[in-house]
Amino acid sequence: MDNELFMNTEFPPPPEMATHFEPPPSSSSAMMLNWALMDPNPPQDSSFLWEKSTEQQQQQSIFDSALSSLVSSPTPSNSNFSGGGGDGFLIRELIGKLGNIGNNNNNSGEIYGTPMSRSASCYATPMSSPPPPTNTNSQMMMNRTTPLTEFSADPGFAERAARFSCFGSRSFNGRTNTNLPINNGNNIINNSGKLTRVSSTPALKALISPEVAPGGEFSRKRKSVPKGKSKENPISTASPSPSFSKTAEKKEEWGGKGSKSSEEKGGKRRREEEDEDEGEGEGEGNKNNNTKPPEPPKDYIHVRARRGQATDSHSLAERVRREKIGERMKLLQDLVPGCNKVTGKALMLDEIINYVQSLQRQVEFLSMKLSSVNDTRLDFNVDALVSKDVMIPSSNNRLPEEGLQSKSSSHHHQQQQLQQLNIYNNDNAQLLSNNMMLQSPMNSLETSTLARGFTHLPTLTQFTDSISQYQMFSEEDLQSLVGMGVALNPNNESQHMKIEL
Amino acid sequence: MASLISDIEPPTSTTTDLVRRKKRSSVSSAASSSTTAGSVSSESHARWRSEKQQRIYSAKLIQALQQVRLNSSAATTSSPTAQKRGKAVREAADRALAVSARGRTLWSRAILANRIKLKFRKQKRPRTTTKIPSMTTVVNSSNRSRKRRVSVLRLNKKNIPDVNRKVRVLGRLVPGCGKQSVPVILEEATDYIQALEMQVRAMNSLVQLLSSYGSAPPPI
Repeated sequence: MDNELFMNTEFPPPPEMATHFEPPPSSSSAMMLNWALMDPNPPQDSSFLWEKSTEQQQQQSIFDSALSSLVSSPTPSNSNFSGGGGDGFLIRELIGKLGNIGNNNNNSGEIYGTPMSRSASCYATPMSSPPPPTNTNSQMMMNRTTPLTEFSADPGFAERAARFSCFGSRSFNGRTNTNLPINNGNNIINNSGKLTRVSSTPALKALISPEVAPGGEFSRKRKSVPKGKSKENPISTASPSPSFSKTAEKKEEWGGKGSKSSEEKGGKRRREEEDEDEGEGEGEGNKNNNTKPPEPPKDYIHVRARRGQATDSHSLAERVRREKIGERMKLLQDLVPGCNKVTGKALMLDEIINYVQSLQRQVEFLSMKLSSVNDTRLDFNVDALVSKDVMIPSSNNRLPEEGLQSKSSSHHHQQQQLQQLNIYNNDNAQLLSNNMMLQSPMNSLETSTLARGFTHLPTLTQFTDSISQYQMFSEEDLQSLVGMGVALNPNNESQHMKIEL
Repeated sequence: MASLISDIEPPTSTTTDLVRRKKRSSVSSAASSSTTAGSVSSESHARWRSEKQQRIYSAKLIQALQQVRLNSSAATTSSPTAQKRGKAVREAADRALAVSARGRTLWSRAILANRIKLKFRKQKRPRTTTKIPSMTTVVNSSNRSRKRRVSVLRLNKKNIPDVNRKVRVLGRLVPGCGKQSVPVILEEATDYIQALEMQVRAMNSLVQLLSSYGSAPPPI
């Protein structure tokens, strides 16, 4: 049976898993964030995981029987579960709930929405009416807990399952540590036309494990980008990251030990659950099923295999990865002019590379130009450059003349030097050679235009005596300005300058 | 004076015009992508294209340029070579750009880190230029041409699919992304391209203003 095959591939014996999953990746902490409610300690998860797995496997036999009953029940095309019995209803409800919770937007309405609706209609009795879909995990958790209490044979299981679900990032190999109580769920999944995404909430898992949860595939495969429609085959979702393939391998190892197909299905379900629960996936991955809030923690993204496509973990992971890359390429395409005509990633990348190189060359060329302009023009009207307002104080026009005429090294004169003044003093060889930048805070006071963040005005070097003195000022002020940030508020600047002087 | 005023006004209006014109409504296109990458890109789109950002960057750039001028004048009696000056300006501009990025992106952090590393190395061990790989980095040391060691050897020999290889090349172009994974490189590239565009616009307007100022006749 397919289920068995899957199960075999997915679940290695717990002790082996323990060794694998001992060192939870640091990224798992990110996952933990999602499951903050459940357990914030990733390292503990692995241990929990193993505990759970052992328990689950023990319960698998129980689940098998339950699953068979579930499988027998007919399932609507849309429903993820083909469970017919009461358990199936429960599971479906759970899955529906999970699906809705996972979905901030009704992306995969087909997957999540329908079960939910159906479950709502069908499962009113067995379980408390499904709570309205909520985006928060906490709510989901709470929602789940009600059914869980009914199902969970092990009270602590839910918690452990929750923790367990909070595997680290994609790089965490131990992800595929799935609780396999849901193995039986594979049967159900197989029957359903679509692969139901069972939320990986611990509550759900706990629910499933004792129940047989058809959707409870606890394949911990976390994948980025939950996508695709459900498939006939329970699939271990392939993670986009290479580590995921590793987990896939591990899953296969597991599969050898336990019941394979069901496990895989369970794993897939679980992944879906997790996706739904978390509502967030890695990066762009979760377009399809989950619309996560725009702050995805580094968490597993569950992927759903598309209808009619390969369902093995590797291909799923590949697909997720490809989609992510494709997404980014599209963004780049919008950015780079001329990429619209080009089709194909390679050519587009060529265009992008050329564009980046041209931009860098432009910057280089402009910097050379700026440097030359900098040298020749001692001064420039910083305010004019930066400010939107066209502020041209009339005093500026007069001051340059005064500065030019007065050769005193008085502080007052220097203060009166304005940028415009300096520009017109380029003839002065001394100015050019010295190329000093003196800060004239008082100038900013007098001229509103100057009262910006840039008080470094290369002033005339007529007053060589006081140049050094003013240099010090300039540096101090520069530092102060930098500290203050680029403030375009003239008033503040001027006041500040005043104080310093 | 009236002429002066009139002379002064156009440059500013030009600047503002440039700034305003550059503003594109990229939100709509970015908003279409619902993924996180999309959201990131849309946010960065709006970020680098906004007038405010350009103003901020221009301000920082001007500050940096003034600092450069101060440094160059203080350091050398004779004017340094045009190339060195250009490099200094370029580095200052890149640094200003990186600061404007507010440390959210890899490339900005790499640009700033390079500078610190360079300074650190200069103090500790004055080494000659290190081995120079085939590609040049974006940020060069002011005194020494330090090139980041990015392994390029394998890329040509291995039978990597074209797309991957090109992404690697792109990664080498973007500072700090030499050894990143493909999606990371692509993401950094989007932000980097936007930032570069803004940098080019700002520098263009700056050069225009400065040259127009220089060419304006003094009021006498």
